[in-house]
Amino acid sequence: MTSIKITVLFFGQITDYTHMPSLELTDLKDTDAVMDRLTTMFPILKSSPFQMALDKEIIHENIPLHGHHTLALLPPYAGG
Amino acid sequence: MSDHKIRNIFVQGPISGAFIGEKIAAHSSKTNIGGHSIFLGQVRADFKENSTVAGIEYTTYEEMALNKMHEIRQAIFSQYELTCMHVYHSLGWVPVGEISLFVFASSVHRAPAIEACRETVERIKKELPVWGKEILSDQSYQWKENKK
Repeated sequence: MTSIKITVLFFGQITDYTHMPSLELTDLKDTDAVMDRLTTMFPILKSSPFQMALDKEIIHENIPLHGHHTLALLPPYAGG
Repeated sequence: MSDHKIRNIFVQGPISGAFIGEKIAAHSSKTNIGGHSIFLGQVRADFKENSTVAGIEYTTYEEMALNKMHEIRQAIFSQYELTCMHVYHSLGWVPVGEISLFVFASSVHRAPAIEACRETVERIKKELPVWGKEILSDQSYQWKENKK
C-alpha cells in the first residue's frame, strides 16, 4: 500500500481554534477519516460552520484518498 | 475579450485612489469603449459593542481564489458583451476608509458594463475564499460576515 499524506489547511476563524495554519496527517483512507481525526483534535469543529475543499475543489461527500492531497477547511467567505 | 489566462487579483494593503485613476486613464486608448462601470468596496467603521472597527486584515486561500475568480470571469464574459474587466482585491491590513475591492467593467454601451460589474461583485463576495479579521479600536477582533 502506498502511503497517504494529507496536508490540512485552516483559514479564517478556524485558525482561532487550531492555532496553526496547517498540519500533516498520514495514512487516513478517506476524507471522513480525516474529519474524525480533526474533530478529535479540535472538538469545536463539530459546531463550526465550514466547507471543505479537497485539492481546491469543494466536496460534499466522503472521498477516498490516494497519494498526496490537500484538504482545506473554509469558514464562511467574507471578501469585499 | 475573454482569455484563458489566470490573473492575479490580489494586492497587498489598500487600493489607492492613484492606482484606480491610473487604471481608468489606461483605457483612453481603447476607443471602442463607450461606458465603464466601477465598484469600490470601502472598509466601514462599524460600531460593535462599545468599540469600532479600525480596519480589516484580509487573508485568502490564494490558489483556490484565483481559480474561482477565473471561473467567474469566464462566466461573466460569456454572459455579457464586455470589452474588458479588471478586478483587484486587497490582502493584509486595510484601515477604515480605504478601498479593499475594485471591480472595473467596460463595454461598447453602458448596460453590459453595469450589469457585469454588479454580478461580479456579488459573486466575489459569495464565492471567493477570502476572510476578513475586523480589528477593533480596543484591540479585540471579530471575523467579518458578509451581508446579503
